[in-house]
Amino acid sequence: MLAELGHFALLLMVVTGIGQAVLFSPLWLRSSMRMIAPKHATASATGPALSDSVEDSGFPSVPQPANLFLLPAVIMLLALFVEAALLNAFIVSDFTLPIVSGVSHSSTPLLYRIGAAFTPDGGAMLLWLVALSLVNVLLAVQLRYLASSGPTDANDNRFCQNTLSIVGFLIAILGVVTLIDADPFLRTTVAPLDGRGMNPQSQDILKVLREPFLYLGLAGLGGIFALTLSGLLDRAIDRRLGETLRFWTMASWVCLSAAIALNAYRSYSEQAWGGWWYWDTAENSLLLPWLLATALMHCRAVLEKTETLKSWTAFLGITALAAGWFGAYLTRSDLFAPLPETQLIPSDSVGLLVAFCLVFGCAYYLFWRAGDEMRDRRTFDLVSRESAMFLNSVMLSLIAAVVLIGTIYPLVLQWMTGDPITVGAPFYVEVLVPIVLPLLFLMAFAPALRWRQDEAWMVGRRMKLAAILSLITVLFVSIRFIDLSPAPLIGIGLAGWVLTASISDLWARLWRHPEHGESKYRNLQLLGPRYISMTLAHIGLAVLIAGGSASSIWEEQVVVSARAGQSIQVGPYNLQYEGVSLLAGENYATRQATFILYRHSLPVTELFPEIRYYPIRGVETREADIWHGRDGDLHVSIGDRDDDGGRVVTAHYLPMMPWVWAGMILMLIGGCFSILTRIILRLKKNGVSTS
Amino acid sequence: MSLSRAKIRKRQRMYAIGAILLAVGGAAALMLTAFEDSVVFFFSPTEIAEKSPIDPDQRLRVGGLVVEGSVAKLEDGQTVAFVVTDMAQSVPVSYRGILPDLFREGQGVVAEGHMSSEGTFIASEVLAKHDENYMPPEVAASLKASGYWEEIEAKNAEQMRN
Repeated sequence: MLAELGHFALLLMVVTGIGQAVLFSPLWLRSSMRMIAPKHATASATGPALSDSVEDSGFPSVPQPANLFLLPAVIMLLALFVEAALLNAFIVSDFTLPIVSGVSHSSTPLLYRIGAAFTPDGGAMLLWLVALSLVNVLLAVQLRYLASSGPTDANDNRFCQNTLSIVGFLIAILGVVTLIDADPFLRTTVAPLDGRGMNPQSQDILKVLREPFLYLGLAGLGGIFALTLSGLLDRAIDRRLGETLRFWTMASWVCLSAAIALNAYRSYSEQAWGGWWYWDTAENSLLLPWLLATALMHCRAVLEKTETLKSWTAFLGITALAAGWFGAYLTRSDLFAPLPETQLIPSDSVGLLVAFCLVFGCAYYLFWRAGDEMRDRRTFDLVSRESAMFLNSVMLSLIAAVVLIGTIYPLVLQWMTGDPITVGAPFYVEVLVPIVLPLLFLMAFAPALRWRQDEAWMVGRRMKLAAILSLITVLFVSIRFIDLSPAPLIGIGLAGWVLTASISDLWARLWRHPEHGESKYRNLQLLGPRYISMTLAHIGLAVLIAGGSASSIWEEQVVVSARAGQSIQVGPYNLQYEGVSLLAGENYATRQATFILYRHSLPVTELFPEIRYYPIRGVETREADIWHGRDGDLHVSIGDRDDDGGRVVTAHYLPMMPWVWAGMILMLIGGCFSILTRIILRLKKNGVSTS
Repeated sequence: MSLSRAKIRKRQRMYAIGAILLAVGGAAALMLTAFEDSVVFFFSPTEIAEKSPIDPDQRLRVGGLVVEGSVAKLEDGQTVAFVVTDMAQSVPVSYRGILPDLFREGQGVVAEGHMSSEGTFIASEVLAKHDENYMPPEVAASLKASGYWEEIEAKNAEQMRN
């Protein structure tokens, strides 16, 4: 019953979404008309101020700001209800719904029954819709808030309505796609006695958490898309838009980064080879929007600061969502591998592709039409922070393009020639390393550069210390390890370069005005949250690159057939194999091995890698166990038993691997810090202005 | 600066376009070379037999069914040897390490590595499957080519009936 209500609420949500799109859209329609046929409307298009007079003649009047909340709030409530109905079906294991019986089972633990709700097509789309309706409400609050705090005019109102109208349109179209492609609330007449069970490889808390973060990130990109498009309609890709976009770029970036980090750690702890990135379709489709969101984040700062790079920022604002959407399509369709997991109804996600073409066809058309109006009024020199940011975003987009081509190339080739091929890590390493290394090299300059124009020799002077320190690092590392391949060494050197440059820039800024007699704390305040979060994120990236490069060089792998009591030497550690015991998990049986980890013959900890057997699907999974030491990770996993009673044990010692995780966490902290301080500052300012 | 604003803007656009063209051109060149030497082709055992000897430096993938009873552990206790077949030809494979979760005799498997000069395929990676019912698409295609697919289908259908 609740499922039918949920179904109805989903339909209602689509209708409300259309309602929001249309009710707010007289202005939207008119400005698109004006853009498509500018000649008819030259009289009214001369200035935004003039369009007020047109509003009075015949068009419905502008909804007052207070009414802006009504529809988004209704949609939000409906979305929550729909999600609750679906979750309820999973929690009570209602197997009359094929979506539930396909990926859940009565013995699946509660947490994973909830997690299973996000994995099939319909559930994932629904999660996206919920996230998008949250974005819808937040946008309404933000725009209403901006309208109320500054001087309001009809322009702001129109901008606000256009934006919400576009989000309403996105909600409606994604709702329709959900209903057509993978309606989650369809019932079967003959219900199976029990479900097929969740894919054991997804039964992990990190995997479950990844989905909400991914779809929140995609929904945030939806908000950026709406704001950008609305700016294009208004021909107002300007400083204010840059300011409004700030929260959204940062929030989407943080969510996407979190999804990537969770995904990486999950891969790391699941497989026996100690790797954390596979370059498979699912990972690439996460990486694509993340790269573009990162590029956009930097261009947005330029737009807000100097009102340059207008069209490039707008282009990225549209393309980031396009990349996320296309990635979602790639993982949802069976173009690559038939994933039975997501294939409840063999729809091939055609609806998602059609909607993609429709939405982005319109968006790029508007972008193209508005192209001439977006010319930058200001200029900047070749040596300036703007051009550094521009180069950065070009290179990030290039990386995204390479990842996209690498992902779809096998498909295209197979389609054209019939040769099955694989594009794997070697391809990406060969192509991306020569792009990433110069990117890192240039990245260190950006914080030290001035806006608008700067002198190369002055920059050189500012970067002197960092250059010397990083050269020393490179020399030291390359003399000690001369026989190694150069790319990871250069990686470490450049990571050192970014790190020292960030720190020396921070140092220079902290000691900038010693004559004022003010404390360093005052200087720290002057730096502002943006600078601090940027420095944190840059240091995080440097730490990540250093850790990744170092662990790839000095990794040690040992594969042995071990008997109980045997000791295995890996790196500085000694693993003592104690034996395997059979245990029962909630819905699996597990063979859990016990290892005692020694370092310099002192026990450090115990490790318990497992082989789990999930009887519902008849599938075994391996769970590695990892010790994060000060200087490196120790990664152990076990395999099958030998004929002669030993057990295959794979142990990896990955020096500096904790740096990779620490770097990811630092980047996330940087992003969260930026968002939080911004919100706190806002609230404080608001409190002052109202009192 | 005596340059007019329009001129500066023009120059700026030129720099921007130049940077983009340079970057795109460089990336395209990189990708073309990478496609030449780091893309891994898939071979069925039949194709390997036809094309042998294969350059030991070339990375490739081989896939098929694991012959029942062929999986054996070598003396060192870590290297596994098995035979992969498409029911027309077969290739001996050796792999050092832990086999993936769903490795079974009689099931589909894909191994990545290179051919040794003795005609053994030295796998550096044996790929896991997603699901117990999943057949790697390349393996399915090669089984179809060798005409064995119908037999499997019939066997599966029979199993379903029981």
